[in-house]
Amino acid sequence: MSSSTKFLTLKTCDDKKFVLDEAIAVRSQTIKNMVEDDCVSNVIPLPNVNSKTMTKVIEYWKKHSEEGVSKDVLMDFDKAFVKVHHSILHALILAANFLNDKEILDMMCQEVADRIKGKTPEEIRKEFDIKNDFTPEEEEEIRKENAWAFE
Amino acid sequence: MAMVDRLSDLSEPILIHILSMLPDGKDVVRSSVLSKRWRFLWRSVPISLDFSFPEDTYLGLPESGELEILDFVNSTHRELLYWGSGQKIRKFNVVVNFSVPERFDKDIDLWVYFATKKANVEDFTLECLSGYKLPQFAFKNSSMRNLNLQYCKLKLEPSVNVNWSNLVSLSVGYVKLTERVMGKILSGCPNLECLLLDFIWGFDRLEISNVKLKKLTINSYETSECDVWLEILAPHIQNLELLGYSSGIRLKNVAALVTAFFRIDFQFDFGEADRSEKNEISCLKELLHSVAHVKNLELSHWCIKVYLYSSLYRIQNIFFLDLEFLMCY
Repeated sequence: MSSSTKFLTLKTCDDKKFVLDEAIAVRSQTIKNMVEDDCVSNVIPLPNVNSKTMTKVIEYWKKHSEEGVSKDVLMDFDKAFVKVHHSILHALILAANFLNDKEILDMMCQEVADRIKGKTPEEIRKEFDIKNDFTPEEEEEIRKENAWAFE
Repeated sequence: MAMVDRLSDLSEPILIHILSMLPDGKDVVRSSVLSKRWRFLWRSVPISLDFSFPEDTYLGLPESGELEILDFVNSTHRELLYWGSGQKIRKFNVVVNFSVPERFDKDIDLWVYFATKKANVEDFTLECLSGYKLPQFAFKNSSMRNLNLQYCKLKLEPSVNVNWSNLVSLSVGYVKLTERVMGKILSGCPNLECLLLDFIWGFDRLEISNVKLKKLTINSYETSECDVWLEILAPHIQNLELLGYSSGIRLKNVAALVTAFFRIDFQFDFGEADRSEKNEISCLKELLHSVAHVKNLELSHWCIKVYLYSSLYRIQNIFFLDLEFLMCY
């Protein structure tokens, strides 16, 4: 890399600092806008992202910025990347949304959709710990209303 | 770790985004019973509807039984009735890969009505192997952006004009088109940017004056007689692809062309092998001459082989192509 490589320091909500090549950090549209608008001082605070999640995000950014990395390698990387507990999926979706990284956001949302796909409502509730707050009568009513989808 | 329902905490746009990634509309609707948070989310999800029959098969399978066809038709009707209530329909695909007895045409009419009049579908695909005739009302619509018609007869009554005012991309395949119908279609699509003609025949002149139409792809054009070539006048086209086995094609005006991609193999074989080969070579030569001004030219192996063979003793001729970029396949 040239000597003009610029580094940015990102600070997560749990006060951990990450020093990152600017060229990689601008994968986040949010950070990119800040850099372009010249409102970057020494440290960029990320109040909505914790260090554990940011480590994952940076792992993704670095892999996808590697020079000469093949499509197959990236596909395997992505496949492994999304195989996480839904609490981490959730954190990554929030982080990607805040950082405005559509690539990670879409990939994570697709993973959630894949986990919903073809499952019964009971199975989905179990998978994502969703609490059913309908009374049995209410639930029956909705099922009847949309009977076609429950065939 | 306590079980926390984090998924439901996500904002509404994100949950809708997730639901929109489900390929089956039933999955989207079923989310309504998960919990109160999810009760009405599905209504904001732009959905894709896909009706194919028979599913996952290829041509040449034994004919489907009448009862199976009826089942398919009825369940499609039921589902469309369900979605008719103001739901956003992003995509609507109907693929009918069986030879439908004609009396089912009225049913297909209803689905076309749904797509073009009732549901404001943006992206509509209709593939009817039996040669279903597109109803006249379907030629007027302002919501479609992408339209793909395969094996559908396109016939226009004299009094009917086409008005597909927002259409951006049109694919037509496996059908006879007359110059009159083609002309009416083109003049009824002021916003068309991309036209794909796939296995088409019936006309030998294609004049495209649409200013926005930048990309034209022709795959396997067929004339009825070997001496007739398709004449293309398309002064605004920037990107031209000619693919597949094809009868002769002549470019009369492609002044704005930037990129030409010829993966074509001319076949003029009408019994006189000698004569047809000569014609094939001269057709290709003429084609190459008419794109001498383009910036990018990509040629298939066949084109290069034929061209080099024909200019064996004058091989320097290829330099008349003043190209920045030449790719070979």
